[in-house]
Amino acid sequence: MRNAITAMGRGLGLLILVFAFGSTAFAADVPATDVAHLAVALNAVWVAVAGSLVFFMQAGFAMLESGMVRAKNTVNVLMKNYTDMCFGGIAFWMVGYGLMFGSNPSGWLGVDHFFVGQDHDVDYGVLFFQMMFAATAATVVSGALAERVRYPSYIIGSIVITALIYPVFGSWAWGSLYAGSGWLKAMGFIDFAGSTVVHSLGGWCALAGIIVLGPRLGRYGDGGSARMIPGHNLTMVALGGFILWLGWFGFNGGSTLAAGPEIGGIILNTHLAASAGVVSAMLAMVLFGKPILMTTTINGGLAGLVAITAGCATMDPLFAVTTGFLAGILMVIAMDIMDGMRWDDPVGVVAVHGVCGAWGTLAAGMFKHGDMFNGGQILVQLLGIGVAFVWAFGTAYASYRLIDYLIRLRASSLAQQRGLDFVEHYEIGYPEFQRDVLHAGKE
Amino acid sequence: MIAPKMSSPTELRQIVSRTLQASLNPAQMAAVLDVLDREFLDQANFALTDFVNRIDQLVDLGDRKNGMRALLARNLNLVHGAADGGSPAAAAPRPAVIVFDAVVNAIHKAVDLADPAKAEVMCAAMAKGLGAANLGPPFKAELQAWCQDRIAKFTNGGPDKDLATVVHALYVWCCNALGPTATDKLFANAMREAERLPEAAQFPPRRLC
Repeated sequence: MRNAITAMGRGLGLLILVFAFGSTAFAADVPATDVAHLAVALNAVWVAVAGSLVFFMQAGFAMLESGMVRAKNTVNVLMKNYTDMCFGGIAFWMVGYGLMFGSNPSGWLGVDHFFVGQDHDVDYGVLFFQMMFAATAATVVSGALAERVRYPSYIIGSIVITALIYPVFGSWAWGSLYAGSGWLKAMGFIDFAGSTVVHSLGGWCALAGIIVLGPRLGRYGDGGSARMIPGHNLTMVALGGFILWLGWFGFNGGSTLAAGPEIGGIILNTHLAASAGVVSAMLAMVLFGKPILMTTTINGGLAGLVAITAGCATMDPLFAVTTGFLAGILMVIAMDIMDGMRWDDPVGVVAVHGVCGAWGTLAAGMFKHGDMFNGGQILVQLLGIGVAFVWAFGTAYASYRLIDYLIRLRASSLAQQRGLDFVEHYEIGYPEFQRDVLHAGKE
Repeated sequence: MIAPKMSSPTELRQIVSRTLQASLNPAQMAAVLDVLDREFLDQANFALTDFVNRIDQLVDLGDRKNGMRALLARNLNLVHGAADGGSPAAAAPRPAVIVFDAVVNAIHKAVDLADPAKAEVMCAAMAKGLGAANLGPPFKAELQAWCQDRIAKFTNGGPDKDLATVVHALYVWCCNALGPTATDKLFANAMREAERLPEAAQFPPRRLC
């Protein structure tokens, strides 16, 4: 670690030289070892910056999700987003990193690098970056369970996801950083930044939670018709959408784990797919005779972002647009299917992350630059998608059932009436405003 | 509704006659009083709702039915209060019960305005749920009476916890019937209405939520 810091310091010094004296003079005068140090430093800086952008996505999720719920549940959603990354981050450092990236002789599980410290040969920047990914997989679930999940139960679920469900699948798909390789990775599974490993996995965990929890009070009418429960602050939703979009440049761009020229193509593809997702979601709403909702439009952008995550490094821009475009339409259809099944997903997590993550992973196999529509590759992609569903949904369903049995997963109807802010946290988001409205608290 | 037991059948007959005078012609009045004499006066408690239903069968009250039931209930309760001979101060309900009464009636009024059929269903569901509810018998009786005519005043109520339990049951019913957003608005308005009562200073309506 000390070496890495020293290299980073020297590299930054060299970087200043480059800007001060010009690259031509630099190339001629600086020894090759210093150039190598510069490369190490740049890589470290880029991974740290990208990891920080992924961290900032937590703020995006927090804004997006809290804006989409009723005022009386705002603090609860913010608390979930703020703290799941903390509990999840520690759990990932303790167990998850080792399971996911430790030596993996069997192809099924990492067996070392737990409680990572000075004794381990670890790039801390990469650990930090991956920790942010694990937190993302966990926090994706938050919005799906909003407004009716008990806070402690949710946190336990997050710890299970970051310590077990996410890293185990990650070890199959992304293999080891030390010795051995994951079995899916060995088969050639492509998921560059985690359409399946992070997003679908989170989406399927969310689906399991939704089924175990049941819908919010009154969400569906007698005939099964879905009732809108409008969010309390669409400005926050829009801000959350912007933050997530920004963070995704780090999420996808940082997955190179090195500062290289390919970053430009990756973030261009990322942006194009998101834009196409927005356009197609709007078109789908028009074609299906729906009003063009801002919330669904923003979800369209997220659908594109999720979908391109797998293939952003291996696709031409035209296919990035295609991937994002189809993701936007799929998201709109999937949200309708969710409502048809009476699976209450307040922010559209399963449609955006689960379904579009799966589509994006398939698209990464179909549209791989230089190897388009390779049947074998597509089969491997389908296998990975299926395995992710079975593993994530199965283990999450069992975990949520167990949590429900032990400490109850669902908040009582009285808690839903009063709002989870007051019941779970004894704090409310808008005290002046809510005192007039309802359930402001007890004297 | 089971109205308070009257001091005498004659008195009850007079009240009914006076109350219905303006609404019925002499022939209808005679038929109604005949039914009253034959089917209702020998009962220990006067079943107001059943009586009004019988009148409806005889003369087809149409949309006057609820109004007539309300008028009868009010007149019968007034007489009952006077017949008890208790002082108004002694009979005054607790502030919590007055607030509860205001909240429940405001909720019912709002549901009735939105959809009268749903208001009927709400009361029927409440009455049905009372059997299994863990509430004191006097409070149950009051609720039963209110569910039938929506006019009866709550006087005894129950412990504050029981009052809140009933309001919560109403909230759940409204959520399922009207949707959560409409319910939150409806309850907020009911709270606001109850906050105007002087008793709200002693028992803030929010305690019922």
